[in-house]
Amino acid sequence: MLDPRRGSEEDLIARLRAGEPAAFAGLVDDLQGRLLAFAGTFTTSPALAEDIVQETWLGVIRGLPAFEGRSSLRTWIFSILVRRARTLATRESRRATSPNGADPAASEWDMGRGRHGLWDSAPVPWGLEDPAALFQTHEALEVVRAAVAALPEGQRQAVLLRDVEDLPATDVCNILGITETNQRVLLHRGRSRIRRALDRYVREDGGAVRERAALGGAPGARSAFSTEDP
Amino acid sequence: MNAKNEEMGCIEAIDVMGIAAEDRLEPGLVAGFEEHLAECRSCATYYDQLRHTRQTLRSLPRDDRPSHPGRQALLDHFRKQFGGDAS
Repeated sequence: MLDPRRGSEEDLIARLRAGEPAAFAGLVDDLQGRLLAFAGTFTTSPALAEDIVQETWLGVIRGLPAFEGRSSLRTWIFSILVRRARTLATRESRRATSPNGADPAASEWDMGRGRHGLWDSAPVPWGLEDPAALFQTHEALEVVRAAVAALPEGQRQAVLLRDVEDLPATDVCNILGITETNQRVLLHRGRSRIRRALDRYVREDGGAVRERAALGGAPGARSAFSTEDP
Repeated sequence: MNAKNEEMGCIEAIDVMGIAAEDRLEPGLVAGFEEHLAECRSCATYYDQLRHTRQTLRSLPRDDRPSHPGRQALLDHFRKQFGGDAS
């Protein structure tokens, strides 16, 4: 099957530029859900998110003849989405969150300064003999999915592009128009929250993960205290 | 960062932890970072969990939507743009 991440991207681009409908259909099917998830970081309206993605695809069709492949196809498409989203979503000016997710609740950490009382409450090892159980367990994946969905938009955008999509860090900066430092802060805060959600799940509720990866270590590893982030 | 030839503390280690979890840590900082983790149980635990968090994020199942309302319109538009057959 067509998957833009496998096989030759050059070949896919050539087929798209040659107007091969199957190549375009494959690209749309592969990316639609992921673009929709990303568009959802710009608006609270599912209908507007759909519009943003549809506009993005129209932009892709218009831009293909001039696309030079200087960035990857996915990076180019996500960049188009950001431009469309910023145009369309500013009309829906109801949202009050700041674009980079600088919410006060997330300011427990500052680059280079740490947090006062660093490791007041040290993280407790999860004690999973096989940590792969985490990403093979439906329940744990759902915990992570919900934690991502709950992130402030700037953090969610950075985490979706850098971790979920696994795009190169420089591409993520370019797509979002942010500096490397800004990206690092957003990722740190976003990942901290997701780690905390996983921590809570593994130590309080992680039945399915425990079944899959026998919890080793001392009974202390099951402490119900939630650890804080630096 | 001026920690290249100095001992790394928790604050410096946490600063570079995300980058390290992405396997992008500057070569000059790797030894100091690893030394710190070997000595600091809290940072080592946190780093371990951060790496597993990222791995889990990368493993999230794709939300594929093969059929959505605008799909056919897009394919038609694509055909028209590229002058393909209208079948």
